[in-house]
Amino acid sequence: MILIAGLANDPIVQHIFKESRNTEISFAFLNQEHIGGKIVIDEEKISSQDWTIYHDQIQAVINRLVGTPKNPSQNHISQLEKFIYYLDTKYPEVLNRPSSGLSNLSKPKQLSMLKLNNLLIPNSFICAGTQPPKKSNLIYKSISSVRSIVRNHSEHKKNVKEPVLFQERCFGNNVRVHCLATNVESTLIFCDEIDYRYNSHKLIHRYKIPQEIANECIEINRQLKLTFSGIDLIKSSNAWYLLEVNPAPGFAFFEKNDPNKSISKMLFKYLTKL
Amino acid sequence: MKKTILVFKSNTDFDNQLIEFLKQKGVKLLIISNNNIFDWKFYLHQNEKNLHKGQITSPNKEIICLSEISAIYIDTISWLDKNTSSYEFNAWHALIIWLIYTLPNSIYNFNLSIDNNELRFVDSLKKNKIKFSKINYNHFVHCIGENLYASTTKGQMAILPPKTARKFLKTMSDLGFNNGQFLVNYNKYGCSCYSFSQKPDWSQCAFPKNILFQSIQQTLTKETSNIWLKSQLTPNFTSNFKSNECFIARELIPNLIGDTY
Repeated sequence: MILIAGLANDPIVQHIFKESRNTEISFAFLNQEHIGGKIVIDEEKISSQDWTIYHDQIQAVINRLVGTPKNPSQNHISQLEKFIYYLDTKYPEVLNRPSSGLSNLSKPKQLSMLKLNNLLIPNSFICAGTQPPKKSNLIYKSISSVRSIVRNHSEHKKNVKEPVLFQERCFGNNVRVHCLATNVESTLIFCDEIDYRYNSHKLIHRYKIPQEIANECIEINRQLKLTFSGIDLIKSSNAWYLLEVNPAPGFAFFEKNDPNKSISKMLFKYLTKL
Repeated sequence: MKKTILVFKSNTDFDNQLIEFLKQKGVKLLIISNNNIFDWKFYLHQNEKNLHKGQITSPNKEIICLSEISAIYIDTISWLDKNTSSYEFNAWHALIIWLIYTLPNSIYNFNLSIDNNELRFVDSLKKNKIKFSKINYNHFVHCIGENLYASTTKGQMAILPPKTARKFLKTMSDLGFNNGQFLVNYNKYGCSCYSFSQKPDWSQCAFPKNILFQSIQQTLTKETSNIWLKSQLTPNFTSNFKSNECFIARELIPNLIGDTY
């Protein structure tokens, strides 16, 4: 059995269930809001009023857990901690284990951890309490895992207060590589804006990346101890740049124009072989 | 090159006394506290090849290069919580994580890489062949870097056998910390562990404070070969910084934190 853990209104959870309808994979859903309430987790099993799943029945977990709610009960906290620990240690396969996902807490640190051969890292500046670098073509973004809209530096105030990540803009096309174990599915995004996620005028289609870049992405997953990731690259005229490795990729967005749903297919094929 | 320690200071007696000790030993300190953090300026650079450099400017306008900083000592940044939004707090946390990764001699009391809980702790004890028991404890075991200090709960200095001491240090390292405190039951019948805290209560340590401070100083200022690599400064290097700065090649600094990082 494959368990999906997360929130019921998570678009990815909904997408997985929708796309798996014609497959033979059996998914069970663990609503994280109910942990420590309707759902009880002990050493042997996860149970609610209506069902019980024993831990050793679970072949794999798709980890879509998000932050805790405001004012959680102590029971919720302790049960969630237990489940997070089990995700790290108990189940044979987890996409992804929580401790591996924490590399994303600091973007520059995540990039620092990687030994790369074929990818470059944008020239990056971390500034706090000071003016940004006096360079042209800078973008800025959140330094932590908290999402921000990537913007041109010229749009930003002169001084920064809290730490902000500035990077020399890499001109080229965005490529998102979804990397699952030794498999990759890549998507090319044409967009005039810096942050394609917030622009309605973009063109997305499936794209084959060079083998050495695919191999590097697989190696990145290995170095970060991730099984499934969304790796953001920029393909410029003479180089490939690594922007970020996302341990909880929102891959549904990238399948919008793909009638074959290649990423979902890759995921289900992987899970079937476990 | 002079060794400077960046201190994120909390308002405990221990931190205050530690700072005085380090000053008397001639260690240069940059002290950041909840009163002045927004007066500090950080300008740090990570280039295309993952080399790090930068400078930090103090409230009195002193500029210190990243290459002059040996380590960070940070007990907590919880005081930031009160002054900042959640987004800002996460941003400071991310910066500090990057600095600690760049400066591996650092001592820190928050978990950088693993969600810690009792289950993980018990598993780690088991892996290191230490029994877990919540029945009783009669020793406080404080660990700093590679040093361990055992005290009885009656306030006497004690010694653990080296093999046992190494197991506790390994357990602490497995949990992702380089300082902390265990509650231990140790007698002629054996040894068991009650709990671990990443925030040691130094008042429970029977050893003279100066010995602890010395351990902290040694950990923070540990000499590591090839940290300062002036040869990395190539002729066509362009910079906004002063000429005595140099790159720190991250890959040549031994990873002292462990592979969970």
